[in-house]
Amino acid sequence: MKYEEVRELTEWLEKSSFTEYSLSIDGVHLSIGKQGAPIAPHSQLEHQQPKVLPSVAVSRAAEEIAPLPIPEVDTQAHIISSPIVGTYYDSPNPESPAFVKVGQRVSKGDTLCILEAMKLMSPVLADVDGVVAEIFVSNEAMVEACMPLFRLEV
Amino acid sequence: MILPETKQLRTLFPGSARHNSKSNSDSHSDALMDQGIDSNETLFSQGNEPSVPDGMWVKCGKCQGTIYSRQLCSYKVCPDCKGHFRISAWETIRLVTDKDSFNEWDENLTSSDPIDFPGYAQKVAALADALDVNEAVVTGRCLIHGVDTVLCVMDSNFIMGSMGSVVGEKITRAFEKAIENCLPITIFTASGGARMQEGIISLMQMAKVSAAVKRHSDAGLLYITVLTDPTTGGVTASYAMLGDIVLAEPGALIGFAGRRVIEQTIKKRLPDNFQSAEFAQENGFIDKIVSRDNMKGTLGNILKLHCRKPVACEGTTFQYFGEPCDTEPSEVVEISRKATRPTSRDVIAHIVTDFVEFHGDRNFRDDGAIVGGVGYLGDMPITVIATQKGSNLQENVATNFGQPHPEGYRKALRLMMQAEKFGRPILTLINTSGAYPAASAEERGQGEAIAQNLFNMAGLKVPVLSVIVGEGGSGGALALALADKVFMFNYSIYSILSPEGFASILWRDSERAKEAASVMKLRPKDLLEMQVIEGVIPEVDGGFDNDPSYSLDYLKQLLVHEFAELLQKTEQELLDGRYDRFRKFGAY
Amino acid sequence: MFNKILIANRGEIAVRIIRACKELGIATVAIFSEADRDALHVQMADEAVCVGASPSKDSYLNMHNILSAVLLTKADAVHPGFGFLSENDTFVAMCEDCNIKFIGPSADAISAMGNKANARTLMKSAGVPTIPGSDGTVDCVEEAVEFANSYGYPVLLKASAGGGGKGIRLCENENELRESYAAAKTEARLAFSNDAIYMEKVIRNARHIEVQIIADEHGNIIHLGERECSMQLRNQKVLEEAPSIGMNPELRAQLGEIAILAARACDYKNAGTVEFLMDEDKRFYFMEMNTRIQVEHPITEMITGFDIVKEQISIARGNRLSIRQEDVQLNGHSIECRINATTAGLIDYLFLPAGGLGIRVDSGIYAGYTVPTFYDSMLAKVISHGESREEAIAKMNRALGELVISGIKTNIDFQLQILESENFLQGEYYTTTLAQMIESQEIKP
Repeated sequence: MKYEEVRELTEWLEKSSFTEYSLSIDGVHLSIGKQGAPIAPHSQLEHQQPKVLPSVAVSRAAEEIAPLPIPEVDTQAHIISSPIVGTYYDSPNPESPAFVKVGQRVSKGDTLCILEAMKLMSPVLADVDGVVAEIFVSNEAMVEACMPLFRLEV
Repeated sequence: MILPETKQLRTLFPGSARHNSKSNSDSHSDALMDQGIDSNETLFSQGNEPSVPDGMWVKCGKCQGTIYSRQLCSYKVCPDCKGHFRISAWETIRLVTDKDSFNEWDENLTSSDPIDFPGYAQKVAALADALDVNEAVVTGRCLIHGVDTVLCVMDSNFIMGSMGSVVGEKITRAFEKAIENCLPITIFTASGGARMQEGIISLMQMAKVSAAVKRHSDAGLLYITVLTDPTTGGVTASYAMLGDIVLAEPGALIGFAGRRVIEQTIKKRLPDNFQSAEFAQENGFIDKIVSRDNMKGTLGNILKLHCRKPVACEGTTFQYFGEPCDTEPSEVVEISRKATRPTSRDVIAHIVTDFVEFHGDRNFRDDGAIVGGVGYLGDMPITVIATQKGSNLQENVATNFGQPHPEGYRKALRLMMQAEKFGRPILTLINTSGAYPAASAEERGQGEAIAQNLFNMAGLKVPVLSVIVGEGGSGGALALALADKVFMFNYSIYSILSPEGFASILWRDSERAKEAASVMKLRPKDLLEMQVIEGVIPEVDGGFDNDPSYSLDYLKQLLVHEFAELLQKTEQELLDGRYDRFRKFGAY
Repeated sequence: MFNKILIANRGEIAVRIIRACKELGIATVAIFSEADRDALHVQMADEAVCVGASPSKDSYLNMHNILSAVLLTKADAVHPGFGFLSENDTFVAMCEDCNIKFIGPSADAISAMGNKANARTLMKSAGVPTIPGSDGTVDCVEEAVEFANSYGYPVLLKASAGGGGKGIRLCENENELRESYAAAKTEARLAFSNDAIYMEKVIRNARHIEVQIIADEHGNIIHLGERECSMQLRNQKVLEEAPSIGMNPELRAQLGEIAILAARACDYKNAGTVEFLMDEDKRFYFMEMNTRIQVEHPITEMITGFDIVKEQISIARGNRLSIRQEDVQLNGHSIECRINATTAGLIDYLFLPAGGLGIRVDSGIYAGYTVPTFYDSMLAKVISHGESREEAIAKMNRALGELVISGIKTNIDFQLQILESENFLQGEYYTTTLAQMIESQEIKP
């Protein structure tokens, strides 16, 4: 457990309506309480106690475990949008197969499609490794700037 | 109060908002018709519809940016990343030569297919038809800023600029004609290497052309190469790298083996700037990177500079008044090392006009501690070589605090030998605490580099003058100071070792540096008495940073006078004079 | 007529142009940045295309995307409004290359007048009186000092590539000039990509009077009278009125002729404005020409009854001017107050003063609209028109009293203070007056 993490939890507690909170993790026990709330002191740990938080006592003793606020984990959606106004082509030419299909794994730098604007072709490259989860446009459609083209699952 | 979601605003504009433009315009067009305006006449008939003309937009190969072709201009340089587009031979000729001055040679030379390669003859014929060139190089004679030169320009549009029999023959003939007419030659290279379709005969062109280059060089003539994107393979391994002066366009691909081949062989990824012109300059193989809009001017300057062989002119009269100071030695040491003391570049800026800097030792690296190049001292072309200290921390890191590596001395040597080839006098400016004492320097032969300089300077057939501007630190300084005459600024020092080093070796106490300074005899006054130097450049009290012009104006006049006198000597007189100058040192 | 016009702008002027197109039966395409997805002009147009991220340089100045949008929506003309690309000769050249009609003057006229130093030189050679100033640019501080010494202080350093009141520095003496010169060059380079500077003598107690001209593509040019724009702060106009009080019919005719002369000198087509300074002796000096429709065009429309935007479209189509100079009549008096946001945020309530003769509001806002921070702060223009100046003032006071924009702070109160100030009521104000009134605390901003 790092000092920064303790501080974050303290700040969270301050803003929340809870008055106290304790946690046991990796053999370290942490109790934090707001002013007025009782805190049972415990013996010190060998390593450094965070200096700035007077109401925090860190010890080894196991205590009841209060629920930790679980941050929402993003499903890692990665959207690739069009940088230009142009026409979307899903393949290098009408006879060839499409560059990518839904479900296809791509690496950073792979060509996903071609955007044509004023007779100039620009490839759109994957900027991360991932799987093509969704294709938002169809072949030969007009695309606007900032328009989502692909969703990749990273 | 917040009103309904903005998206619903559209419902406030009912379907009539999306009217059929034709139906509504009927009544309006009647009204306009009353005013004599015929709105039925469409603006766009067939062929007048908005459309994009071909070539209106181009892509930059370097930054992938989209460029409006009108903003590209004839230099074809990307306005965003300054990447230089590849251009054809004739485009280069138009940009670089004086109007209507180019006379083409050998325009109808075509290959006769030496190894009977299938399809080759047809390919050549088809390309010659489609392009404005018959082969991968255009050769001829022209004027560049009024200077007569032979010019060869390769064209990467023709089978990737590859060198086969015709390229080899045209360029060889160009060198031969240049020798015949005592002309310099300028070659723009752009090539994927030797032409596969002509097999071993293409390989032989490398030898053939290089031999012609050698003859041209032995005739004492100037050869300038301009490396453009791409210059690779057999062309790089022959004439491209043989110019007296090698220029390059920014970002050009310059190399021998192909990147992919190397990556596959060593199984490692190479850095992004690998084989770029900048990479080649860092590694010591390019004299100067010149952007396309400056190319004609730079070529003109270099050609003009080499036009005139400095000749002895009427002896000028000169009033010497540099009296050596009698200041405390340790104070002289302090002033010579002051951070505000003008650097060699400052001196060059004041006394040399049209200075063109050249880089690299054509071997390992471009050493920032040595600055070298050509310019004019008055009307006389000279080569200037200087040790350079920085004036702030960043500069000092780049110049290694003025302590050269072996590659710095080798850069100096290369430029001095070039000066000799063209009969150009040499000026060296010295301000260094010494040659860099480090493992890297030892690995590359610091001792050997200094020794070679001494060896070759002893035999230079052109006048050489050295000026110590700040610190003259031991062998690191001497490597540039084996000259016909040596001068010192009044508050400079010249010694076998620094006072600190001296004290440390003799008395095991570098704190006794002040004492050391007073016994070492390192001031101009002492050195003048010992005849180690010929004269002193006056400085105002406290050092010439307080009044640079006072010292530098004197320096310039002194040098002009001294060079003029030296130029009146014969070659033998010059060499004997230099030999005797150093021969006399010794007390026994 | 054109089938479809793309409006390369945003805010109230885009709305204005879209409305004119609708009335002419022309289909409209709006462009917008990410920040403007919910903007009024986007919702009003028949089609809308996103042209880039919120910063102007990525969207409203993105020539590549805007041109692509024109072509893909098959629009046949572009109206650039004011600001953004309206005076960008590169964009005009691109339109010309693609056979897209740019509703405005030619690339050459724009570049001739866009470089302010060159424009001065051109005007001088055409016989148009110009503000005493440098011959072309001033390339070093010594030249600047020399100019100031011969013409006398105070002087103005102005960016050649500037305009619209930007890139101007006042220097009262040599010290200030020496200090400001380098800074002025740097500012110009950063703002306009061009560090060329020219200089003008400061004309004390000057009135900024500009003339609306309009020219067709057949060589006919007329003027539509002048506008008084001296109520300014930091070179930005705050309140405008037409006609100007200091003018009379003879002066008006004279000034109109000079303006037309200026337009002919650069072969001008479509709508434009020639800006002059008038000194205390009622002498006029050319200051600059704005080669586009202007913010304050409505007051000219009110007193002439003439729709300038529709005429712009008609001229671009190739038609001759729909009126002749002798048909131009100036009726009554009109005032425009620019309503600016002083904070950004969500407009949660809006009440616009409609109703009654002679009140017009041109705006791009609506209740529920969030004012973005990326662009200029103008929310709306309130325009009044009366038979006399007094009536126009009374109507403006009434209108501003009814105007409610809740949720953000605006300058409505500031405008009301100006309207009741003695200087304004007497019609005695110069370009420096508003700043003076603020300094003397007569008006609290």
